[in-house]
Order: sequence, then C-alpha cells, then structure tokens
Amino acid sequence: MGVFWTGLKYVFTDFSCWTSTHGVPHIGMANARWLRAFWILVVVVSIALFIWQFITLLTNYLSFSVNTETTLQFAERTFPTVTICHLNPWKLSETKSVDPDMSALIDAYNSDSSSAQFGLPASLTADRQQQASKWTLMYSERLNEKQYNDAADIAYSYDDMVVSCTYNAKTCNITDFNDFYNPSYGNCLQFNTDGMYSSSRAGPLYGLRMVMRTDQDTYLPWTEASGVIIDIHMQDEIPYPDVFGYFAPPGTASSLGVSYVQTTRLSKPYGSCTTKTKLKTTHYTGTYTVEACFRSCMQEKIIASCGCYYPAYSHASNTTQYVSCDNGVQTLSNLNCVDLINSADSTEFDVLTDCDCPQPCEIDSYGVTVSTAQWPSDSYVPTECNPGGPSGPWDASGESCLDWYKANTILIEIYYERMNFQVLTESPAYTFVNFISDVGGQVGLFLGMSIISAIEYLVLIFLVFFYCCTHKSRRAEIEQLEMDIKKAKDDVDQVAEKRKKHQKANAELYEMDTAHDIVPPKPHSND
Amino acid sequence: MSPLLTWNLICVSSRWYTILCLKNKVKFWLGTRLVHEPESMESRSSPYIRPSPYAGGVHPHFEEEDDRSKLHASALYSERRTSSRKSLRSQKIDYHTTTIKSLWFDFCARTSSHGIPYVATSSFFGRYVWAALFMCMLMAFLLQTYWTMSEYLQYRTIIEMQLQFEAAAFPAATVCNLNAFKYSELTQYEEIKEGFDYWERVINARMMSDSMKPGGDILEAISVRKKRSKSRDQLLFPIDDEDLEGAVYQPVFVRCTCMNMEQCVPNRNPLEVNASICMCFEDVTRGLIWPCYPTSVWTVKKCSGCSISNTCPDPDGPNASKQIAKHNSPLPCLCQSISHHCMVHPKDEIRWWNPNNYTVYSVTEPPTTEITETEEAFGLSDLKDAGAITTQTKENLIFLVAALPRETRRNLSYTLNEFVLRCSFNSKDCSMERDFKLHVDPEYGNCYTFNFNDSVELKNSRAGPMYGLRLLLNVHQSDYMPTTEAAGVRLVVHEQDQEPFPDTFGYSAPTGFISSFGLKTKELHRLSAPWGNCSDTFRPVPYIYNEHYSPEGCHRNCFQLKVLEICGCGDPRFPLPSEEHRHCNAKSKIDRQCLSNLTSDSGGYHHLHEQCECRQPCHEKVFETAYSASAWPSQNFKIGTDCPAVSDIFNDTEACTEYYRQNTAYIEIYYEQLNFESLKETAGYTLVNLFSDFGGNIGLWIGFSVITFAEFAELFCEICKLMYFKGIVYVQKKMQGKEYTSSSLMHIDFLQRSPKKSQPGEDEVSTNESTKELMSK
Repeated sequence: MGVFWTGLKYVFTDFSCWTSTHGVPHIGMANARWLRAFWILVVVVSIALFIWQFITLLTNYLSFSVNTETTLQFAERTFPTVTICHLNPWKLSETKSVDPDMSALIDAYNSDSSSAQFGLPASLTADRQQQASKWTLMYSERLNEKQYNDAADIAYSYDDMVVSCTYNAKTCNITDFNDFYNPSYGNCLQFNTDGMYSSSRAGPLYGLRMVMRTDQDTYLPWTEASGVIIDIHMQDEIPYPDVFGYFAPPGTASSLGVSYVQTTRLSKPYGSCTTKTKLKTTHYTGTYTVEACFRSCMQEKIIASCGCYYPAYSHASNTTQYVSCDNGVQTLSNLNCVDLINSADSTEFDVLTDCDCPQPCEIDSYGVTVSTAQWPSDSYVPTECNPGGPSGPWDASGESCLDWYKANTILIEIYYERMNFQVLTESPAYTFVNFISDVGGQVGLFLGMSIISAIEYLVLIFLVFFYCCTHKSRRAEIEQLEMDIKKAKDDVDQVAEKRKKHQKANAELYEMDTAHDIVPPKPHSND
Repeated sequence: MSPLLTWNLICVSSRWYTILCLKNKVKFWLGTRLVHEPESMESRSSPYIRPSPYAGGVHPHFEEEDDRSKLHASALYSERRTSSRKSLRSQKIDYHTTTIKSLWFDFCARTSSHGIPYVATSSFFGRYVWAALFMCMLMAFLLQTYWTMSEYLQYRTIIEMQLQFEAAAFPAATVCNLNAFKYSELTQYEEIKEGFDYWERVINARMMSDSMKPGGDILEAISVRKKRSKSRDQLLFPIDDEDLEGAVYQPVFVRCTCMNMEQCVPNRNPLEVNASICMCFEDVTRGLIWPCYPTSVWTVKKCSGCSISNTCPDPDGPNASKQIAKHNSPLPCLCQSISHHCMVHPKDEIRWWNPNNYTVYSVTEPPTTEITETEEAFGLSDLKDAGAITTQTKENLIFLVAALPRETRRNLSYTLNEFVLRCSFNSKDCSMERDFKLHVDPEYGNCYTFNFNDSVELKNSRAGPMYGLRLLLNVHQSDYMPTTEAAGVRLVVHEQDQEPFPDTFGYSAPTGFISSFGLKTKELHRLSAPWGNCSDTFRPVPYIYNEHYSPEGCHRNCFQLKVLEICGCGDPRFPLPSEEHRHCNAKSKIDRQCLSNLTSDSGGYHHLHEQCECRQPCHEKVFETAYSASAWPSQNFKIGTDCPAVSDIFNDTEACTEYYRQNTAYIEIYYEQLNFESLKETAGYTLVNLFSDFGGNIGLWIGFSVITFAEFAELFCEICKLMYFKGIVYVQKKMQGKEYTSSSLMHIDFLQRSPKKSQPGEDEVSTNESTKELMSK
C-alpha cells in the first residue's frame, strides 16, 4: 500500500509540473507546508469565485430575456380592410313582419310590464335592455337565414347605408364592397377584402371617404345609441367589431387616422407565443386570433354544459349531434345557461385559465386615432337638398332636408396618417455564444484555464486509471530491482563528487602557497 | 485452446511491461531524487560554500547536469525540474548567495503568466524584444480595461418591452360634473352671491363699453345741431326759432357704473348699492340721458355763446377763439374736460334722476366713489377679455367655497343619486352605496370613484364595451353656474391607491353622446440607484394627500408648503397639511397679492423642480385611452313613460328624449385588449458582465489570472525576506570585522610555527587559517 500511494503521489507531482493551469504548479513545487497551504487556499478561493460567477451567468442565460428592436420603414402599403356596421342590427318594422318571435319580443319590450316568456324585469333598467340584447343575439342566426334565404329586407344593405363613397379621390360603388354578417350588428359592409387597393400617399384626401345614413326611424327600441361602428383589420382576419370597433355618431365628420405596426415575437423558451397561423377546431376554421380562439373554446364549453351550440358564435353545421340553443320553449333556459358561461363574473368558467389561447408570434395591427368635426356645416348644401332634387326620407318625416341630414348622416374618412410604419422585432438578449464568451472570460480570470487545460485533466484521469490497473502486476519486483540499480548509480555519483572535492581542496592548497609567499613582508613593515 | 490463450496473455503482459517500464523509469528517477534529497543537500552544502567566490565553482554544476541527462533520456521535463530544484535551493540558502536578480529569474522560471518567462531566459528574439512586446500588450490591456470600466460606470439600462397576457385588474374610475356646485344652493350665501354680482357688473360693463362706439355719433349730432342753430340765427327768420326749441339739455345726477375715468353707464337697478355717481346730459323733451361723465371731471365756468338748447362751447376748449360773443354778459355753466361741451347751470339745485317715481333730491356735494378691498382682491378690474374675467371669477369662487366647512361644500355639490342614474359592470348592476366613494375636488366639487377599494379586485376577463363599466350620468344643466362654459362630465382612470387629479389627468365627455373609452394598460418598472432615481418608499413629510405617493401630488405638496411658508396661508386648490393652517382669504388683498406673485415668480407648481425633490415610483401603471363616441339616445330608444330623470315631463316621449340628450352623458370604460405591455428597466451592464469582459481582456492580452497576482505577492514576500536576511548578514560582517585583529594575531603565531610544515596535524590547522585570511581580504 505504501508503494501504491507513493506512486500515485509521483503521478500528481509530475502532472503539476507540466499542466498549464494557473496555481496547480505552485502546489507541486512548494517546499514547505505553509507555502503549499497558501497556494491551495488561493486555488480554492479562485474556484469558489468562479462557481459564483458561473451560477450568475447561468441564471442570466436561463431567464431567456429578449430585446425589442424598433425600426421605421417607409413603403407603399395595402389599404386595410374596413368593416362598417350599423349600430342597429335589424330594421324594426320589417323584422316584426317577418319573425313572430321577434315581434313578440318587441311587443313585450314596448309594454312596460314584466314578461315571463323573455325574462324581462318590470322596471326600465339596464337589465331590461341587456336582456333584450341577449335575446337578439340568440335570434341572430335565424334572422340572418331569413335575410339571405328568403330575401327579406330586415338587415341594412349598401343602398340603405351609403349615400356617397370615394377612394383616392375616385368614386367607388357597390361592387367594391362585400357583405359580412356579424351577430351583434347584422349585415356589415367590407371594403378592400381582397387587398386590391393600396395607398401610396398619406392624408384624408387619399383614403376612403363615405357619407352614410343612419335612419333612426328603423331602430329597435332597445338600441340605445345611433351611428356606425368601424373595424379596421388585415385582409385575412375575421373582424369582431363588437370588441375592436370604433364608434362614429351622426351629425359629425369622423376621421380615422390609421397607422400600421408590425410586431414579431419569439416563441419558447423566450416567450409564450404560438407560431401557428391557422386555427382548426370543430367549430372554427380560419386565421388564428386570440378572440377567435376564445370564442371557439367557449362554444365547446357551452355545448358540453348546455347541450346545444350558441348561435352567436361560429359553430359546425346543424346536425343531430349539435343542436342550436334557439330551440322553441327551451330557449329561455338555454339563454340562462349560456349567460352563465358567457358572463365574465362566472365562477364556473374562466377563459384565461381554461382556454389555451396564447398570443400569435407575428401580429400586424393598426392603431386608429379618431377625431370628429361638425357635419355638415351651416353653409354646405348637399346635392340631394338642392331645389328640385330627388325625394327622400325627409319628405316623409316632415322636416327639412338639411335638418334631416344633420340628424341622420355621417361623414367618415379612413386614411393612412403617415406612410412609414413601425416594425417591432424581438431578438434574444443573451444568446449561447454570449454565454460561452462570458464563461470563458470568467475561467480565464479566476483559474487561468482553457479547453486545453480541460484536456490536460482528462489526460491526468487516464494516467491515474492506468496506474491503478497496472500497479498490482508481477513486474513490481522488477521495479525494486531497478530501484536498487538506481541506488548503485547514485553511490557512484557520490564517490565521483568526493573525488572532485579532493581535487578542489588540492587546488586551494596551491593557491594558499602562492599567497603565503606574499604575506611575510607585511608583518615586518608593521613591526 | 489453452496454448493459444496462454500466448495471448503473454502478449498482453509484454505490452504492459513495456509501458510500465517507461513509466517506472520516470517514477524511479523522481523517487530517487526525493528520497535522497536530504543527504544530497548535506553532502553538497560544504563544497558549495567554498567554491562560490570562484568562477570554477559553476563548472562542476554543469557537469553534474550533463551526467544526469546522459543517465536518463527524459529531456521533455528538464526545464521544469531545473526550476523546481532552483526553487528548493533558494529557500534554503538564499540569505547567503541569493540576490534580487536571482529571485526574479527564479520567479520568471516558475510564473504562470505569458511572456514574462521569456524576459529572463534566452530565446530567438531575445529578452529585450519580449520585454517590449509584453509592455505593449500591457498597455493594450490597460486601455481596454479603461473602456470596460467606463461602460460599467455609465450604469445604462435596457428597457424590455414585454406583452403579458393576464387578467388585468380593472382600474378605479372617478367621474365629476363639469359644473362644480349648484347655482341655486350657491346664491343662498351672501359672500358668494356678492362675487357673482360683481362678475355680472363687470361683464355688463364690458358689453356696454363695446356698444359705446356709436355713442360718438350722438356727440357729432349735437355739434351739427349747434352749427345749424348758428346759421339760422344769422338769417333772423321767425320760423327757425321753432326748430331751435326742439331739444333742451340740463344736467342731472345719476347712479352709474364707471369702468374708467372717461365713460359711465347708468345703472338699471336703482336699489343697487355701491354704485358710482355721475352727471349726464338730459334731454328733457325726450327723456334721453346721454352721455354721462364722472362727477370728478365736471367744473363750473363762465360761458358765452350758449344756444337755445342750453349747450355752450367750452371757454377753455380748442374752439374758443372762433366763437362770436353774441351776448354781452357770460352765463354760469357746467363743463367737462373730455368732450369740451358745456351746459347752462340751472338756477335751482341739480336734481337726481329716478326712473321710478321721478323724485328730485337736493344735493349739496356730489358723492365720491371708492373701490372696496374685496373688489380689488377679486382682481377683475384689470382684465379686458370676457373669457379671462370668467376664469378669474372661477378662481374667486374656489377661494370663497374653500372658506366654507367640508360638510357645507359637500351639500353645495351633487349627490350620488342625483349624478349617477345607471351603473353596470360586466353586464351586472352596481350597488350605488357600496361601489362608489366620494372624492371632493376643489375645482369639480363632488366626484365619485368607482372601484375605489383596493382590497376588492374587480377582474375584467373579457374585452369589449359590453364587459366594462357603463355609467349614465345626469349633469343637471339647468342648475349650472353662469360661469360654467361647457356641459359634460370629467373622467379620470387611475389605480386604486392613487389620488385622482381630474384637472390634470382627466378626459371630458360631452352630453348627448355615448363616450367609449378603450383602455390599454402599461406597467412600468424602473431601476433605483445607481441606475436611476426612483423609489417606492419615498414620501415627503408632511404630505397633504391621504392616498399613495405620486409625483403630481409631490409637486402640489411642495408648492403648498412654500405658499404656507411665505404667505402664511394655503392655496385653496390643495388640501392643508393640518388643522392649524388656514386657506388664503378671497377678500384679503394681501393674501391674493402674495399668492399671485408667488405663482407668477415660480411659474406654477410644476416649475419648482430646483427646490422640490420629487421621485418617480419604481413600479407604476399607466392607462392609455382611445376615445370614440356615438349619439345618445337614439330616436326609437325607450326610456319610459315616466321619464325617470325628470319629474315634470310625463307621457311625452320627445320631450323626455330631448332632456336626456341635453342633460345626460353615457360613459363606457372597457379594456380594448386583454394583454398589457410591461416596460421593465434592467441593468444593461452588470457586475457579472464586467468580470467576464475583464477576464477576457486579461486572458487575451497578457495571460494573467487571479492566481498570477498571487504569484506576484509571493515574489514580493520573497524579496522582503531576502532584505531581512541581508540585514542579518550585514550585522554578521561587523562581527567578523572584530575578529580581524584576532586573525592577525593568529597570523603571527603562524609565522612562528612555519618550520613545522612537515607534520600532518599542522597542515589541517594551516588550511583553516588561510581560508579566513582570504575571506578577510
């Protein structure tokens, strides 16, 4: 055992002579215990400092922070898709004549008494108005079917809404608009759905300019506000004007200045956004947006809890598997069940925790700035109000043409505020290359090591392993023999050294004799 | 099979034997040297001392080294072993033969830094080239370190913009009426009514002065009339005398309001007090009183050339020389120095004009007009613009109302049930008493805060107007003050623990519209010292607001404390820090002047940055608002036959709709999107980055590390030890100097014993003595 540990000691001492690590050679070369202890302490403290810094760097790297770069780009951009909806979804008189249930709802609301059939409270409070709105949403699908299948004129068409329209100082007409159905607002008009129009200049003159009618006589009794709602979005998005829309009141000229912002984010492990661009579920197929994902998730929940689908959300085709909640006498209980899930205060369902709807990684959004002015001015006379002009709804209402125009029309301008757009790009703030560079700096500062030093340690491990495997061999006796030979050689060296010493002593004696000849005269002079 | 296996084992053993022999050679050599180290040192010590002064002593050293290299063919590690041996030797014998130079060479042989070993050893380029190269690299390293330290000491920050997706807490919303107090309640207080009366007089005076521009025509008409009378006198026709009798003027005292010293306007209210007195031209045939001048400009003079209508030219006027003296004796007349027109002084006393009962009072002296201190403190006399007069009156009203107790101020404004007609949150009705809190604002009166309780958190987990706060507010426009210019409400969206400042951070919403406020939340995270100056626990003492600290409140607090210190009273637009202080009096000229001077000198409370220490909070929420409006109510919207807001209108739908359009504002507050931006400030260059860059630089340029500095520390310790032992040797040399005398004595003995050289014992003694002599020489 003594021979084994002595040999192992020799291996380590030899390693300390040729390693390139800082500090370790000094441990091997130290000739005193206190000096060796000092160097061991220095090396241990350096290793401790390095470990501390390494942990900090590793924590910083694993936090996966990001940098957001903001740049401004200037380019000709496609004009966004504009969806304009009337704030009133269905016409009053036409709806009453077409649908008996809606007629019953309107009559129940107009009478000031409570209604058990529709769950309306007696007093005219916000609850009554909200309940009527919910019933309208429930009936929205059947009314839409009657609008398109039976050609009933219960929703607002292009001719009902638009008085005049220009884009880029040129006239636009009904062929430039598409119909879009929204459960909250009925039929909406969409402009530039295929992305055919683009803007190369900013300002209201080079955008979309429309004069629209509101026709408040046709409003439902629970529609509290008059005007239109405008949603501005990308071509491939499904609009949700009830969430992202902007209002415009009659009697005003509303300018909507649009600015484009393009945002690119990083997915795992830097952020939690999703890279998928399409959403395919049982009830929704289309471009992925958070609102679409929410509604699809809530539709699933409604079907699971209430046993029927909500007509106001997108759903699969009507089959025996899925039945509409608009179902005769059960509609009131279905409405309460749906409202229990739809309500934001519901304890049963929370869209943020129960739905897996992350943000998309690439977002193209439009910022809108709304400003208003009076429309029309006192000195402006519309062409329809000229003497001898065409007859219009003001003739039936009995007021003058200008008064009717002030109360029922809106001028809307939608344009690009500026042609440059903002691009926000996320990039990793601390990449793996930065991490390796920083660790290299720390290693060089505290230990003086490099990758080559690490390889040296691997060689040391190999040497120790090899020594352990071979130290029990029968050749140990040969080692002893060779040691004896070494000792004999050392003895010979010692004898040679002794001879040299004798020679040196003789040489000194000769020099002493020479000095002796000079010395005697000096004492005489002293005497 | 067994012979083949045996043969393989033999081969493996032979390989192991070969490698083991090579390794054992190295180990044997090391073992031999280490085992025999003490003996070799002892045996070498005596000969090493003797030959060191001679050059020949080095020669055997090299011979030994050559012998060893011949014995063992392991030249790869020879330098390391040499340095190791040197190191061992230096520790043992340094106090005799070692110098600083040898220590330096020994250090260079064993140091782990790059470049320094070549300075002390022979190489291809030479030591001077390596030394110069090392110094250049050292300079480059120091320059790089300077840049790195400069970047670290800038303490720059990076702002991370993250989009977080959580259920954001709904903020607190404070709504105020744009009209602060009810006019019907305000007029019950005499002081406040006096302020309104004064404002009305000043406004009417401005309107009168604007309409006085055609007044010059009347004066010109009088002149024209006089000219015609003169020409007709020259004709001497009897029929013209009837025309001259058409107008007859006489002076009359009237209660007037004089805006300046030139023009006066008669008061229509004869019972009004504190009116000025002026004297007017009265046409007795038509009852017209125009123009009027203050009593101070009228003087009694002697006039000539008076007309039949009792008007005379001024004797001291510019046209005096042109008049022809028709009558021989001048008449006493009343003249004023503005238009230089005079009237014949009546024979009896000048009467007073009274439009009601035409009673004539006798006056011996005209009364004098004084402006009271209250009117001077109101500060309306210097203003010209009607808007400025109204704004100044609003400020006066704030001062007057601030003097009233808090309960009285609350009663002057609107109650919750009067103001808020409807409220719903997340499509559910609110509880009026539980969800709203009163906040009294000096400028807007009673304001009501929704979601004020920060222990109750309202979540808004859906976006869109249907899932936010909806308020129907009645502004009661019929009871507005005459100084309120706009009708509507004021809205502030803020955090629950923040003080709302509607005059600074508010939005106005008109009546007759549904105003939609779409919210976006931004969370700001700032860094404190040494990167920034923010602090979450900063709060000046005293602090005049009860809510959480905010920079806006800090600036107002600083201004209020400064006003209290200089003027002795507080600005009524801000609260007082304690009950011992009082607000500035609206009627005190000294208080108003001091406050006005302080405001104009400091430029308002937002410009006291030099004297105020206001810090930003480290964590803050900012709400950005997007506004759009739609008309309210629509034509067919059912409000109800009873028209709940107005008790007078019954069963009249159009009148009820019109009342709602004129007097109510519908407000929607909701989240546009559920995500919110988080702007977080982080350190751009941390201590870890500093260490990493410093380590990279020091490893790149000079190959140093922390352990290398420890090596230099060791070298320094060695040099100190050498200096210490050098001192000991110096002391020993002095001792040897004393022994020189004894050695000379021994020398004498040696001379006496010189014939005995042949004996061996004597030879040994002589050897020692000769050695000492040589050393002494």
